[in-house]
Amino acid sequence: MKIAESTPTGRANSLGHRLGVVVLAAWAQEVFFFLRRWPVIPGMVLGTLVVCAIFAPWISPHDPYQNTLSDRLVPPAWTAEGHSKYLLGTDWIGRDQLSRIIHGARVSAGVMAIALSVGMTVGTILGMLAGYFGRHVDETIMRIVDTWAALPFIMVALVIRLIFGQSYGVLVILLALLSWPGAVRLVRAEALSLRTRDYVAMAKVSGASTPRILFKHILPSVWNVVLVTASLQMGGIILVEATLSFLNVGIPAPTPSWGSMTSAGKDYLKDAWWVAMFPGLAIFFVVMAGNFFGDWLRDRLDPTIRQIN
Amino acid sequence: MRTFVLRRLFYAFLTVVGGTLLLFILSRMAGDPRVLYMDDYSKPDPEVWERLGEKFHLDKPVPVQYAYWVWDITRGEFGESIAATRPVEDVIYSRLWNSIQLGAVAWALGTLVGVPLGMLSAVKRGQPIDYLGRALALTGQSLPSFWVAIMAILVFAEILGWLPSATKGEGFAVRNFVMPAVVLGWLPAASYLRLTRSSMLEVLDSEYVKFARSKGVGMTTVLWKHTFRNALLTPLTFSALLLLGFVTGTTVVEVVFAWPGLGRLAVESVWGNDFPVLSAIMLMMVVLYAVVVLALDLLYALVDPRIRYS
Repeated sequence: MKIAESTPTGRANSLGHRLGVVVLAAWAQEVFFFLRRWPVIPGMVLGTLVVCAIFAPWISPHDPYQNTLSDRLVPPAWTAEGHSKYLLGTDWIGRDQLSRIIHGARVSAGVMAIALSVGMTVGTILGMLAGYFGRHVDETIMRIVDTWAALPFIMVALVIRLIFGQSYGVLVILLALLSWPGAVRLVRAEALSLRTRDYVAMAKVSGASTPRILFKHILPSVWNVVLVTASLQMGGIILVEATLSFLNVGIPAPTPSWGSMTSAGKDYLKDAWWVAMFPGLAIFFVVMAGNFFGDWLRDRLDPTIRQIN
Repeated sequence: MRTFVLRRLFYAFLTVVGGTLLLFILSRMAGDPRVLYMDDYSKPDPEVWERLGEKFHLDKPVPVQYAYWVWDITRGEFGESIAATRPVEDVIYSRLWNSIQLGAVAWALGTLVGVPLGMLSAVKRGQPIDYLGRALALTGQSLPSFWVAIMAILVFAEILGWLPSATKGEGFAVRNFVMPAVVLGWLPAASYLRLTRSSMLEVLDSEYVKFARSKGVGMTTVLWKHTFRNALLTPLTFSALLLLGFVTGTTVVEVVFAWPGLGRLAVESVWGNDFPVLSAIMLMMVVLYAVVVLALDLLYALVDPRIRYS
């Protein structure tokens, strides 16, 4: 009652208002739990990435390669000197930043998808072989994996770039080379425990061939692990791709990529902060969303490797 | 313990062999390896061409070529830098010290910030400090370090003018170290934080901690005597993995801050087609990495007896 008296109109005490507060609080809690339970925000960010990647030519307001020299280094639209034509401003030769970022999504997502598929395929096959056959096969494959993982990746990337030049193919191979060891390790651990299961023994007894056992009986069970590995690596792969492009090792010049856009923006920092800032923000959001999504998927599909929170 | 040490030594050796083999195969995949060692390979100087052919023993089978090449490297003969026209060793040694300085400062920063924050985060689980620490760790792992470096320059050098934008200068000036070291140390700090936190929580959940608590031992004593020592083992093993990320980070941060170190030299040698310098840096990193991993493994086995016998 004291509280009600202290409010000037006393309206806060009315039944309807109190009910409203309760309903609102319950609703807010519901929303909060929903956001904790389902990766809504990461899903939205990744969804935007996919949409941008697929529909880039149709949704970007300008041609990402079209330079308009009279519109060099136009600031973002909301600043005093900005122009509504260029929402995120233009770069040093007057190309629209937003269009380049949207097309950059296409490049990043495409390269990531191909590299991850290649890396996961190779990693899964080797991991199954190592886990299923054990002994020398296992020892050999794991030694190769450990040795490869112990090499400083960025240096290997630089050497490969120097020898083979700068191209998409080289970049995809580099990123695939980065991703396969993780898949081998996890798939191997899974296959190691699967091969002693009864159903595998039964298949063997009834005369199933080794490829049949591997692909019909082992593969379906390691599928979850592969999916989790791939999703956990998404963010890292995008980050490495951006880093390589930043160092002029990744995607070749005129093609828009977030890493190389940031790199170029570095030289115009004094007059045009927006050139370097927005591509970097795009990388940050996508990598963060990828990490969250990967964690969520891991908890969902593979509770045994769940982290303690 | 002896088998363990021998096994680890063998692994380190394998890593180094793998590195040299990879480099050798790559250089031979480019076609005639002499092309990589020439400044302008469209019109080769016949004299140099012949000399290089002799140096690489191109008339002999490939495995023999590899053996000769390894023999040259082990004696420290990397050849001559194409860009600087002086021995590769000179070029590298002049840069190595700068990289070590920056790396050491960033390493110390990452450890001193990451590990205590991780502990605090675990002890004060669910409290504001925990959320702050985890937010710091998450952003540290998702932010591209080159972008953070550029934004730091924008804010602290261009706008506020507090710190120099990109230089190392002569000698050791703290001002010049602040930005590169913080940017470089952030990712290791984030990883340390996450690792320390999760391993602390695991130990805090364990039976022996619960037993000590129910016996009436105070929380402070439990933390200092039972938890910290056991919980710090995991971050220690992962130091090796962090180091690998460190090498990557150094390269990028050195490029952004115009730091005259090895990472930047490597990138410059790519831009200048300087294969001898790049291959020497890569081998150096491989050896360095193998040695550090070996040392950490042995240290880990020394601290935790369970490891030696598994």
